[in-house]
Amino acid sequence: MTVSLFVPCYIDQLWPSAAASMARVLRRVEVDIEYRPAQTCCGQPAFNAGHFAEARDVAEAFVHVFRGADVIVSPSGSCVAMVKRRYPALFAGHPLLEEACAIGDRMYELSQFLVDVLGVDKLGAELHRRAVFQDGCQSLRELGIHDQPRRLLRSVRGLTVAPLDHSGSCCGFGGLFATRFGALSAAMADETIQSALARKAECIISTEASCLLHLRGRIERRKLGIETMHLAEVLATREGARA
Amino acid sequence: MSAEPTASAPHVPTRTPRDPASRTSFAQRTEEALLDPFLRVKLRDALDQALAARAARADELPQFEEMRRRAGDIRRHVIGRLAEHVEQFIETAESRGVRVFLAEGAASARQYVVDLARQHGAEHVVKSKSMVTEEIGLFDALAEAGIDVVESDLGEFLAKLAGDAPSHLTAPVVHLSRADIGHLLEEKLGVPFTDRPEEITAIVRDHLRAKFLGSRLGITGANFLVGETGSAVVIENEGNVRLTTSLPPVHVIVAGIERIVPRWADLELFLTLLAASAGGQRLTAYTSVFTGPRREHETGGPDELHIVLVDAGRSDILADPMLREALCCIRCGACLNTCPVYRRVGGHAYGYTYPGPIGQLLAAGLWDAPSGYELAHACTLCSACHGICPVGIDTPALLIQLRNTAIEAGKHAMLRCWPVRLWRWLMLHPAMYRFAARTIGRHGVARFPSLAAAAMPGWVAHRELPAIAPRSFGRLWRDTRGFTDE
Amino acid sequence: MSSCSHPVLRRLAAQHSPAWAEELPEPFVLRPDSPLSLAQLADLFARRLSELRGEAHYAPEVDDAVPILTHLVQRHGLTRVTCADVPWLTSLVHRAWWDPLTHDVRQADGSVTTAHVLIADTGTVVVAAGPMAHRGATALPRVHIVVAHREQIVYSLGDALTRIIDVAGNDGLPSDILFITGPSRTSDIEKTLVIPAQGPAALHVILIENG
Repeated sequence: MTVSLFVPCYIDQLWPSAAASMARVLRRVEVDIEYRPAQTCCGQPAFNAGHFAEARDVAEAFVHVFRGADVIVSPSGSCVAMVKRRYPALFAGHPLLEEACAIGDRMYELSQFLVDVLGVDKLGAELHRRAVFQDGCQSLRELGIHDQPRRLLRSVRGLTVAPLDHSGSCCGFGGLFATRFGALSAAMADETIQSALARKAECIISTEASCLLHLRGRIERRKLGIETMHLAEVLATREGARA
Repeated sequence: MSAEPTASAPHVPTRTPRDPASRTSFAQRTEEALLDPFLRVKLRDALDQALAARAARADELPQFEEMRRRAGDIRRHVIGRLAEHVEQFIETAESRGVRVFLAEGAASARQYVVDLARQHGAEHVVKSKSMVTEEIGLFDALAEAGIDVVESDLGEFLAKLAGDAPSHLTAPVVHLSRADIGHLLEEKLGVPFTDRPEEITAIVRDHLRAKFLGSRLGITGANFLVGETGSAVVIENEGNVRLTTSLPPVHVIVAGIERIVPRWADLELFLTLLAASAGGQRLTAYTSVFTGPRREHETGGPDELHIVLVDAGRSDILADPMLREALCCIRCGACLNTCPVYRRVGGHAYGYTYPGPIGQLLAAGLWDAPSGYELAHACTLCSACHGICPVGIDTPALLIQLRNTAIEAGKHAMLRCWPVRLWRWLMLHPAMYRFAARTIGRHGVARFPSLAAAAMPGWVAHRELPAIAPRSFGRLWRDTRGFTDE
Repeated sequence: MSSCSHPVLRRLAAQHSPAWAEELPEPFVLRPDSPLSLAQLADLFARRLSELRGEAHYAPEVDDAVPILTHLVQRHGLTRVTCADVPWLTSLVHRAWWDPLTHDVRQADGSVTTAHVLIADTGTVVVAAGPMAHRGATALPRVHIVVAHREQIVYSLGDALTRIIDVAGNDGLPSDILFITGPSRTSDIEKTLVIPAQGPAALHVILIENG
């Protein structure tokens, strides 16, 4: 089985270390990985904004790029949710419908893949931090991802993950929502940040780079001293390497 | 971090504009709401309590999930065949002596009630809580006709006194603190100030008693209409519905056409689910089942029972094959309680009769105004509402659909079009996308940071822009030969 | 109302959606894990009622209800009691309370009624409109006392609905059936529970075990 990596555009450009960490983690558990360079996007931003035609064109390209892949793993739960949950409706009546649905069946978010498919929950990671975990909304509610990242984080030596009040409560990103309703979006981010600080967390961890980018932007504007790390980056640390 | 505010500032009333061409937008109203530090605290505590109660009750019912699924299926069946069910209800209700009026629009519904009041010489009218009467503007219509109307539900009474619209489906004054209410009664009723809930309640109880005794017409809503028996079911906790319907000689019920449940036996499921989902109760304190006016041998109760079935745009929603799911709603308010947007800004910011996720769906369907489409975007698609809805309405999916409808209709297309087209082109041409990211993205932003900021004003007003990484993932992959070089 | 003529019905009829549930799904029935005895039902009912701040009182025989009624009238300081016009009930109340009964429900500070059926699972008392009691008797007076027999207790809301429709038939439902689940209440003010709101402040149920 070869795992084909899906690295959405915004991670490719804005947070490549999340995807690089994912690749390193997969290598560590001796999985064959490939990266198809023609990939760009699953179409979610356009779809969520209601631009179905444009979303479908880009989704079509996605299906072409990943044709024949055994398994696709992504560091972005929201992209996986898009493909699994929204492609069937998006491709209704389209010649690629069957293939689009089949791709969804073979696609996983990283923690889902590690725990549910490979049965792995220890990666030899070590990171001395006090952190909280923020669930991504689509990961949590569309894909049911909740226990998997927590299990993986429990095995990271030196890491304390404190429970976050309302960890499932939206951080306020929501794609274009963040710019259309900027003040409200920032206020929602502030709630998440406040809950994390109330737990004396040094770091907010999530499976969602988009949430983290939004939180990080707010943290930097407010000059607060709390880090944001993608789950993959935490898992990619190595025991013995102090960080 | 500053401490949470606990004291209460003087409350400034918020009249919800029913005028669709409202001057302020949702975005503006949210910014106003965000400036009120007390609102957040009031909302959070109240809504968390309702959510906790609901969760506890759901735990008590081992078949809760199955109940939700069945309720969703039954409601979808009714909505899928609404004409049949409405006809059946009208027939059975009329055979029990109910006068049924099927109102096409809000205006005819209002007129029917005003005419009824005039016919019976009702200068004083009591009404109990009904969102659809808010929707059609009944209170104002009666007032304009010179008829004195009293809202008898404690929360609605207080809201009217404050000059506010209700801000939640089931908890109308969740936005007011006890001190706010104490000051309100002191000012409007001339009673000494008290902020103790029991004393406030007793004051309003005494004030309203006389109104019930003096009214010739009682107006209520209905939570469910039973097709099989022609009955109207009204739930409450205070007892004001009982008082509204026991004394006046005429009772008129105003209800949306979609309120129908097919069978008498269905009441077990729907009453249990509604009480659970709204506030974690097993049943509300009073559930009234009205079937026809007072029978000859009965004492007390109205001689005439009228039911006004309101369409007012519901048939238009029904015509939309996706949006019609919104008609399944049983008005429990759970989606409001869990929505991160509602929890942050409260009901008045929506500027519409129905706030929260269900309100966003109905606004676009029932309220054909630009604001309706703006509300369709006021959602992060977090799906908390979908997760809690007792009948499984997939609000995020429907909102995305509404966004698409607005685009297809060309209403918001023109200005927003070119970025999407550009985005599409870049996504379909990976080499160009990478080139653009390298040049305009990385180098352009580094040299002209203020231009970058100007391109995304909504973001930079509140956040720092993320930096484009020196090496993209694709580049890292190539440079390390797929991370094997490490 | 002629179905063909009304524009709303015509519009609705045009939107039939056979895709949504061809067959109407069966009603959902809530059942207990195992059937309960009458004594267990009574216990459950009393427990639920007390959780709601109502009170249940046991009377082994009908006559035993008399001292309970006297006690309740005195405890609440009632001076104008109205009673449902049911012979066995009025005779009990006359023995319990020596003042003449009030016939105007608007003036009464206490009311005594029978019940149609009681629901154990929710602690609910069901009172149906009839010639016996004014519709307002369950809501206007400050204190509401129900005298019922243990046999009248069923387990669930569904059981109660079945009993009501079996007795009345689809055509014979009274104009008003009231399901009372505790005294009146509100949480409209900062989600603080206040009892009473606008209806009765106290709900008492006297359960007669035999007879």
